[in-house]
Amino acid sequence: MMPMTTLNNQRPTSQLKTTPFQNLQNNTSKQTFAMDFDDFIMTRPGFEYLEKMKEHFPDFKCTLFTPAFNLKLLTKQVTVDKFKDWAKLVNKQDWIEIAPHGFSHSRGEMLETRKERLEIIIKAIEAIFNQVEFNWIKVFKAPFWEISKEAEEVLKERGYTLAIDRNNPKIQTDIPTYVFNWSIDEPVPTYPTVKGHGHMHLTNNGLDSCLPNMLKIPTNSEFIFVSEYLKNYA
Amino acid sequence: MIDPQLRIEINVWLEQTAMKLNLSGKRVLEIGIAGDEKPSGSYRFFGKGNEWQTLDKNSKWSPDIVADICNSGLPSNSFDLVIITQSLEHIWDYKAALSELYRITKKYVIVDCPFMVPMHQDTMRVINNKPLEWDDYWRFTPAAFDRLLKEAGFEKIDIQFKNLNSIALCEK
Repeated sequence: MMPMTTLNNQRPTSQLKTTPFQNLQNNTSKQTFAMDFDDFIMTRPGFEYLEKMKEHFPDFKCTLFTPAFNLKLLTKQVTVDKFKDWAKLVNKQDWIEIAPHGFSHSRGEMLETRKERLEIIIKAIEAIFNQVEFNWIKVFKAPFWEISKEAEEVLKERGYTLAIDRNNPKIQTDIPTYVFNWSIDEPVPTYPTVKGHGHMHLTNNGLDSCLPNMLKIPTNSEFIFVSEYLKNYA
Repeated sequence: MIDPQLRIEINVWLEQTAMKLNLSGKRVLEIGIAGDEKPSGSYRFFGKGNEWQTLDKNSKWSPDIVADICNSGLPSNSFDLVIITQSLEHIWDYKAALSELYRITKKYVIVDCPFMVPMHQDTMRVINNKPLEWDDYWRFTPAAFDRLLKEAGFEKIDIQFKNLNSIALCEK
Protein backbone atom coordinates (compact mmCIF):
# COMPACT_ATOMS: atom_id res chain seq x y z
CA MET A 1 0.00 0.00 0.00
CA MET A 2 1.30 3.45 -0.83
CA PRO A 3 2.15 5.48 2.22
CA MET A 4 -0.02 8.50 2.90
CA THR A 5 2.66 11.11 2.51
CA THR A 6 1.84 14.58 1.29
CA LEU A 7 3.53 17.90 1.62
CA ASN A 8 1.32 20.38 3.33
CA ASN A 9 0.81 23.11 0.77
CA GLN A 10 -0.74 25.52 3.20
CA ARG A 11 2.56 26.26 4.90
CA PRO A 12 5.59 26.32 2.58
CA THR A 13 8.67 25.21 4.45
CA SER A 14 10.54 28.36 3.55
CA GLN A 15 8.01 30.46 5.44
CA LEU A 16 7.68 28.31 8.50
CA LYS A 17 8.49 29.19 12.07
CA THR A 18 11.89 30.63 11.37
CA THR A 19 11.53 34.03 12.98
CA PRO A 20 13.39 33.40 16.26
CA PHE A 21 16.34 31.92 14.43
CA GLN A 22 16.62 34.20 11.43
CA ASN A 23 19.46 36.30 12.74
CA LEU A 24 21.35 33.21 13.82
CA GLN A 25 20.92 31.51 10.47
CA ASN A 26 22.63 34.45 8.79
CA ASN A 27 25.73 33.99 10.89
CA THR A 28 25.64 30.75 12.84
CA SER A 29 29.17 31.18 14.16
CA LYS A 30 28.22 34.20 16.24
CA GLN A 31 26.96 33.19 19.65
CA THR A 32 24.41 34.91 21.81
CA PHE A 33 24.78 34.96 25.59
CA ALA A 34 22.06 35.80 28.08
CA MET A 35 24.00 36.02 31.32
CA ASP A 36 22.50 36.09 34.78
CA PHE A 37 24.14 36.35 38.17
CA ASP A 38 22.60 35.77 41.56
CA ASP A 39 22.92 37.67 44.81
CA PHE A 40 23.57 41.18 43.61
CA ILE A 41 23.60 42.80 47.04
CA MET A 42 24.88 46.11 48.30
CA THR A 43 28.01 45.62 50.44
CA ARG A 44 28.75 42.26 48.86
CA PRO A 45 31.62 41.93 46.36
CA GLY A 46 31.30 40.88 42.76
CA PHE A 47 30.51 44.01 40.81
CA GLU A 48 34.17 44.62 40.08
CA TYR A 49 34.21 41.38 38.08
CA LEU A 50 31.28 42.56 36.00
CA GLU A 51 33.18 45.76 35.30
CA LYS A 52 36.09 43.66 34.08
CA MET A 53 33.69 41.81 31.80
CA LYS A 54 32.43 45.14 30.51
CA GLU A 55 35.98 46.25 29.82
CA HIS A 56 36.72 43.04 27.94
CA PHE A 57 33.39 42.89 26.11
CA PRO A 58 32.19 46.45 25.41
CA ASP A 59 28.72 45.16 24.51
CA PHE A 60 28.43 43.06 27.66
CA LYS A 61 25.12 43.15 29.46
CA CYS A 62 23.61 40.95 32.12
CA THR A 63 20.65 40.31 34.36
CA LEU A 64 21.27 40.43 38.10
CA PHE A 65 18.99 38.56 40.47
CA THR A 66 18.70 40.89 43.41
CA PRO A 67 17.07 40.51 46.81
CA ALA A 68 14.79 43.48 47.41
CA PHE A 69 16.45 44.30 50.67
CA ASN A 70 18.76 42.53 53.00
CA LEU A 71 17.51 43.31 56.46
CA LYS A 72 20.77 42.15 57.95
CA LEU A 73 22.44 45.14 56.32
CA LEU A 74 20.39 47.68 58.20
CA THR A 75 22.92 49.07 60.59
CA LYS A 76 24.08 52.50 61.54
CA GLN A 77 26.62 52.33 58.74
CA VAL A 78 24.30 50.95 56.07
CA THR A 79 21.11 52.94 56.04
CA VAL A 80 18.10 53.03 53.79
CA ASP A 81 19.47 56.23 52.28
CA LYS A 82 22.70 54.48 51.40
CA PHE A 83 20.66 51.74 49.76
CA LYS A 84 18.93 54.36 47.66
CA ASP A 85 22.28 55.89 46.72
CA TRP A 86 23.52 52.48 45.69
CA ALA A 87 20.42 51.96 43.59
CA LYS A 88 21.04 55.27 41.84
CA LEU A 89 24.52 54.08 40.89
CA VAL A 90 23.11 50.80 39.62
CA ASN A 91 20.53 52.63 37.54
CA LYS A 92 23.25 54.51 35.71
CA GLN A 93 24.50 51.23 34.24
CA ASP A 94 22.35 50.62 31.18
CA TRP A 95 24.00 47.26 30.67
CA ILE A 96 22.42 45.91 33.85
CA GLU A 97 18.94 44.54 34.24
CA ILE A 98 17.56 43.68 37.67
CA ALA A 99 15.32 40.70 38.50
CA PRO A 100 13.85 39.85 41.90
CA HIS A 101 15.60 37.22 44.00
CA GLY A 102 13.29 37.10 47.00
CA PHE A 103 12.70 39.78 49.58
CA SER A 104 15.62 39.36 51.95
CA HIS A 105 17.20 36.17 50.62
CA SER A 106 16.24 34.35 53.80
CA ARG A 107 16.15 30.59 53.84
CA GLY A 108 12.62 29.37 53.13
CA GLU A 109 11.03 32.77 52.65
CA MET A 110 9.35 31.59 49.46
CA LEU A 111 8.27 28.31 51.05
CA GLU A 112 5.47 30.27 52.69
CA THR A 113 2.11 28.72 51.78
CA ARG A 114 -0.30 31.45 52.85
CA LYS A 115 -1.12 33.28 49.66
CA GLU A 116 -2.07 36.50 51.41
CA ARG A 117 1.38 36.67 52.99
CA LEU A 118 3.03 35.82 49.70
CA GLU A 119 1.13 38.66 48.05
CA ILE A 120 2.50 41.01 50.70
CA ILE A 121 6.07 39.79 50.17
CA ILE A 122 5.94 40.04 46.40
CA LYS A 123 4.19 43.41 46.42
CA ALA A 124 6.84 44.68 48.84
CA ILE A 125 9.59 43.57 46.46
CA GLU A 126 7.86 45.31 43.59
CA ALA A 127 7.35 48.46 45.65
CA ILE A 128 11.02 48.65 46.61
CA PHE A 129 12.22 48.04 43.05
CA ASN A 130 9.82 50.68 41.77
CA GLN A 131 10.76 53.20 44.46
CA VAL A 132 14.44 53.00 43.65
CA GLU A 133 13.56 52.97 39.95
CA PHE A 134 15.44 49.82 39.08
CA ASN A 135 15.31 48.67 35.47
CA TRP A 136 13.69 45.41 36.58
CA ILE A 137 11.86 42.54 34.98
CA LYS A 138 9.24 40.07 36.14
CA VAL A 139 11.48 37.04 36.19
CA PHE A 140 11.63 35.66 39.72
CA LYS A 141 14.28 33.41 41.15
CA ALA A 142 13.60 32.06 44.63
CA PRO A 143 16.48 32.18 47.10
CA PHE A 144 18.11 28.72 47.24
CA TRP A 145 15.61 27.70 44.51
CA GLU A 146 13.14 27.02 47.33
CA ILE A 147 9.56 27.86 46.46
CA SER A 148 6.09 26.64 47.41
CA LYS A 149 3.30 25.82 45.00
CA GLU A 150 1.33 28.73 46.40
CA ALA A 151 4.21 31.12 45.74
CA GLU A 152 4.35 29.90 42.14
CA GLU A 153 0.62 30.53 41.87
CA VAL A 154 0.91 34.07 43.20
CA LEU A 155 3.83 34.82 40.90
CA LYS A 156 1.96 33.44 37.92
CA GLU A 157 -1.10 35.53 38.76
CA ARG A 158 1.13 38.59 38.88
CA GLY A 159 2.63 37.85 35.46
CA TYR A 160 6.01 36.46 36.43
CA THR A 161 8.29 33.95 34.76
CA LEU A 162 10.00 31.64 37.25
CA ALA A 163 13.73 30.99 36.91
CA ILE A 164 14.40 27.39 37.89
CA ASP A 165 17.46 25.25 38.47
CA ARG A 166 18.73 23.34 35.45
CA ASN A 167 20.21 20.73 37.78
CA ASN A 168 16.96 20.17 39.62
CA PRO A 169 14.24 21.48 37.35
CA LYS A 170 11.14 21.38 39.52
CA ILE A 171 7.87 23.18 39.06
CA GLN A 172 4.53 22.62 40.72
CA THR A 173 2.32 24.72 38.44
CA ASP A 174 2.26 25.71 34.80
CA ILE A 175 3.99 29.04 35.44
CA PRO A 176 6.26 30.07 32.53
CA THR A 177 9.87 29.16 33.25
CA TYR A 178 13.39 30.28 32.45
CA VAL A 179 16.11 27.65 32.76
CA PHE A 180 19.81 28.42 32.38
CA ASN A 181 21.80 26.06 30.19
CA TRP A 182 25.35 26.94 31.17
CA SER A 183 26.92 27.33 34.57
CA ILE A 184 29.94 29.61 34.26
CA ASP A 185 32.27 27.13 35.93
CA GLU A 186 31.76 24.78 32.96
CA PRO A 187 33.61 25.02 29.63
CA VAL A 188 32.18 27.76 27.44
CA PRO A 189 29.62 26.11 25.14
CA THR A 190 29.73 26.50 21.39
CA TYR A 191 25.93 26.30 21.23
CA PRO A 192 24.37 29.28 19.39
CA THR A 193 22.25 30.66 22.23
CA VAL A 194 23.67 30.29 25.71
CA LYS A 195 21.80 31.08 28.91
CA GLY A 196 24.65 31.49 31.34
CA HIS A 197 24.30 31.51 35.09
CA GLY A 198 26.59 32.27 37.98
CA HIS A 199 26.84 34.10 41.28
CA MET A 200 28.30 37.49 42.07
CA HIS A 201 30.61 35.99 44.63
CA LEU A 202 31.54 32.64 46.18
CA THR A 203 29.83 29.29 45.40
CA ASN A 204 31.11 26.98 42.66
CA ASN A 205 30.15 29.43 39.96
CA GLY A 206 31.00 32.72 41.59
CA LEU A 207 32.45 35.43 39.41
CA ASP A 208 35.48 35.63 41.71
CA SER A 209 36.59 32.16 40.66
CA CYS A 210 35.03 31.95 37.19
CA LEU A 211 36.04 35.25 35.62
CA PRO A 212 38.95 33.67 33.71
CA ASN A 213 36.51 31.17 32.22
CA MET A 214 34.06 33.92 31.33
CA LEU A 215 36.81 35.72 29.43
CA LYS A 216 37.00 32.71 27.10
CA ILE A 217 33.64 33.69 25.60
CA PRO A 218 34.31 34.56 21.95
CA THR A 219 34.81 38.29 21.61
CA ASN A 220 32.37 38.59 18.71
CA SER A 221 29.53 37.25 20.84
CA GLU A 222 26.31 39.12 21.32
CA PHE A 223 25.04 39.71 24.84
CA ILE A 224 21.38 40.04 25.67
CA PHE A 225 19.32 40.48 28.80
CA VAL A 226 17.20 37.61 30.09
CA SER A 227 14.17 39.74 29.18
CA GLU A 228 15.42 39.90 25.58
CA TYR A 229 15.91 36.16 25.53
CA LEU A 230 12.36 35.60 26.73
CA LYS A 231 11.00 38.03 24.21
CA ASN A 232 12.93 36.98 21.13
CA TYR A 233 14.38 33.50 21.63
CA ALA A 234 12.18 31.45 23.98
CA MET B 1 -1.99 17.55 28.67
CA ILE B 2 1.62 16.73 29.46
CA ASP B 3 2.51 17.09 33.12
CA PRO B 4 4.42 20.42 33.40
CA GLN B 5 7.09 18.83 35.57
CA LEU B 6 7.74 16.10 33.00
CA ARG B 7 7.76 18.64 30.18
CA ILE B 8 10.34 20.76 32.02
CA GLU B 9 12.57 17.75 32.63
CA ILE B 10 12.32 16.69 28.99
CA ASN B 11 13.06 20.23 27.83
CA VAL B 12 16.13 20.51 30.05
CA TRP B 13 17.39 17.17 28.75
CA LEU B 14 16.69 18.23 25.16
CA GLU B 15 18.50 21.53 25.58
CA GLN B 16 21.53 19.89 27.17
CA THR B 17 21.54 17.29 24.38
CA ALA B 18 21.25 20.04 21.78
CA MET B 19 24.25 21.76 23.33
CA LYS B 20 26.19 18.52 23.35
CA LEU B 21 25.43 17.65 19.72
CA ASN B 22 25.64 21.31 18.60
CA LEU B 23 24.23 20.57 15.19
CA SER B 24 24.44 23.32 12.63
CA GLY B 25 23.40 23.31 8.99
CA LYS B 26 21.66 19.98 9.52
CA ARG B 27 18.23 18.64 8.71
CA VAL B 28 15.99 18.10 11.71
CA LEU B 29 12.56 16.48 11.77
CA GLU B 30 10.13 16.51 14.65
CA ILE B 31 7.34 13.98 14.67
CA GLY B 32 4.03 14.18 16.49
CA ILE B 33 3.30 17.84 16.95
CA ALA B 34 -0.23 17.64 18.32
CA GLY B 35 -0.99 18.49 21.92
CA ASP B 36 0.01 21.23 24.28
CA GLU B 37 2.98 23.49 23.81
CA LYS B 38 2.84 22.68 20.12
CA PRO B 39 3.66 22.78 17.35
CA SER B 40 6.62 21.31 19.01
CA GLY B 41 8.37 22.09 22.21
CA SER B 42 11.45 20.29 20.97
CA TYR B 43 12.74 21.65 17.68
CA ARG B 44 13.36 25.06 19.22
CA PHE B 45 16.38 23.57 20.94
CA PHE B 46 17.73 22.04 17.75
CA GLY B 47 16.31 24.41 15.15
CA LYS B 48 18.92 27.12 15.46
CA GLY B 49 21.02 27.19 12.34
CA ASN B 50 19.37 24.05 11.05
CA GLU B 51 16.74 23.25 8.48
CA TRP B 52 13.86 21.68 10.28
CA GLN B 53 10.47 20.24 9.46
CA THR B 54 7.55 18.76 11.31
CA LEU B 55 5.59 15.60 10.61
CA ASP B 56 2.22 14.49 11.88
CA LYS B 57 -0.36 12.10 10.51
CA ASN B 58 -3.12 14.56 11.22
CA SER B 59 -3.21 17.51 8.80
CA LYS B 60 -5.20 19.60 11.27
CA TRP B 61 -1.98 20.42 13.15
CA SER B 62 -0.53 21.84 9.92
CA PRO B 63 2.73 19.91 9.89
CA ASP B 64 5.16 20.33 7.03
CA ILE B 65 4.73 16.67 6.17
CA VAL B 66 1.52 14.71 6.64
CA ALA B 67 2.47 11.07 7.12
CA ASP B 68 2.22 8.05 9.36
CA ILE B 69 5.58 7.42 11.02
CA CYS B 70 5.02 3.67 10.76
CA ASN B 71 5.34 4.01 7.00
CA SER B 72 6.28 7.56 6.13
CA GLY B 73 7.38 7.15 2.54
CA LEU B 74 10.27 9.53 3.24
CA PRO B 75 13.64 8.69 1.68
CA SER B 76 16.11 6.76 3.82
CA ASN B 77 18.73 8.78 5.71
CA SER B 78 16.91 12.00 4.93
CA PHE B 79 17.36 13.77 8.29
CA ASP B 80 20.38 14.23 10.53
CA LEU B 81 18.20 14.21 13.63
CA VAL B 82 14.66 12.95 14.15
CA ILE B 83 12.85 13.88 17.36
CA ILE B 84 9.72 12.22 18.66
CA THR B 85 8.70 12.89 22.26
CA GLN B 86 5.59 11.98 24.24
CA SER B 87 4.21 10.14 21.25
CA LEU B 88 5.51 6.57 21.06
CA GLU B 89 3.00 5.29 23.61
CA HIS B 90 0.23 6.41 21.26
CA ILE B 91 1.47 4.39 18.28
CA TRP B 92 -0.02 0.92 18.03
CA ASP B 93 2.74 -0.56 15.86
CA TYR B 94 5.63 0.89 17.86
CA LYS B 95 8.14 -1.56 16.38
CA ALA B 96 7.32 -0.36 12.88
CA ALA B 97 7.67 3.23 14.08
CA LEU B 98 11.10 2.58 15.63
CA SER B 99 12.29 0.83 12.47
CA GLU B 100 11.06 3.74 10.39
CA LEU B 101 12.87 6.20 12.65
CA TYR B 102 16.05 4.21 12.15
CA ARG B 103 15.53 4.18 8.40
CA ILE B 104 14.84 7.89 7.87
CA THR B 105 17.57 9.26 10.13
CA LYS B 106 21.09 9.68 8.93
CA LYS B 107 22.54 9.73 12.42
CA TYR B 108 20.47 10.64 15.49
CA VAL B 109 17.05 9.90 16.89
CA ILE B 110 15.61 11.26 20.11
CA VAL B 111 12.67 9.27 21.38
CA ASP B 112 11.01 8.78 24.74
CA CYS B 113 8.36 6.65 26.37
CA PRO B 114 6.66 6.59 29.76
CA PHE B 115 6.63 3.89 32.40
CA MET B 116 3.95 3.56 35.09
CA VAL B 117 2.41 6.85 34.03
CA PRO B 118 -1.39 7.22 34.25
CA MET B 119 -3.39 6.55 31.11
CA HIS B 120 -3.80 9.74 29.12
CA GLN B 121 -5.88 8.84 26.10
CA ASP B 122 -8.92 10.81 25.09
CA THR B 123 -11.27 9.23 27.64
CA MET B 124 -14.28 11.13 26.35
CA ARG B 125 -14.00 9.10 23.20
CA VAL B 126 -14.58 5.92 25.14
CA ILE B 127 -17.65 7.34 26.79
CA ASN B 128 -19.19 8.96 23.77
CA ASN B 129 -17.76 6.76 21.03
CA LYS B 130 -16.34 9.79 19.29
CA PRO B 131 -13.84 9.39 16.45
CA LEU B 132 -10.37 8.56 17.70
CA GLU B 133 -8.05 11.50 18.28
CA TRP B 134 -5.28 9.51 19.89
CA ASP B 135 -5.16 6.53 22.13
CA ASP B 136 -2.76 5.50 24.84
CA TYR B 137 -1.40 1.98 24.30
CA TRP B 138 2.03 1.31 25.75
CA ARG B 139 4.43 1.59 28.66
CA PHE B 140 8.03 0.35 28.64
CA THR B 141 10.63 -0.17 31.30
CA PRO B 142 14.00 1.41 30.48
CA ALA B 143 15.37 -2.10 29.86
CA ALA B 144 12.60 -2.96 27.41
CA PHE B 145 13.02 0.40 25.70
CA ASP B 146 16.75 -0.15 25.33
CA ARG B 147 16.16 -3.58 23.82
CA LEU B 148 13.52 -2.29 21.40
CA LEU B 149 15.88 0.43 20.20
CA LYS B 150 18.67 -2.08 19.70
CA GLU B 151 16.33 -4.35 17.77
CA ALA B 152 15.39 -1.39 15.58
CA GLY B 153 19.09 -1.19 14.65
CA PHE B 154 20.56 1.56 16.77
CA GLU B 155 24.11 0.89 17.86
CA LYS B 156 24.62 3.60 20.44
CA ILE B 157 21.81 4.29 22.88
CA ASP B 158 21.95 6.68 25.82
CA ILE B 159 18.83 6.50 28.00
CA GLN B 160 17.94 8.78 30.86
CA PHE B 161 15.17 7.51 33.13
CA LYS B 162 13.65 10.25 35.23
CA ASN B 163 10.18 11.03 36.50
CA LEU B 164 8.93 7.68 35.17
CA ASN B 165 9.98 8.55 31.64
CA SER B 166 12.76 7.10 29.51
CA ILE B 167 14.27 9.46 26.99
CA ALA B 168 16.92 8.19 24.62
CA LEU B 169 19.50 9.67 22.33
CA CYS B 170 20.10 7.00 19.70
CA GLU B 171 22.88 6.97 17.16
CA LYS B 172 23.10 4.93 14.01
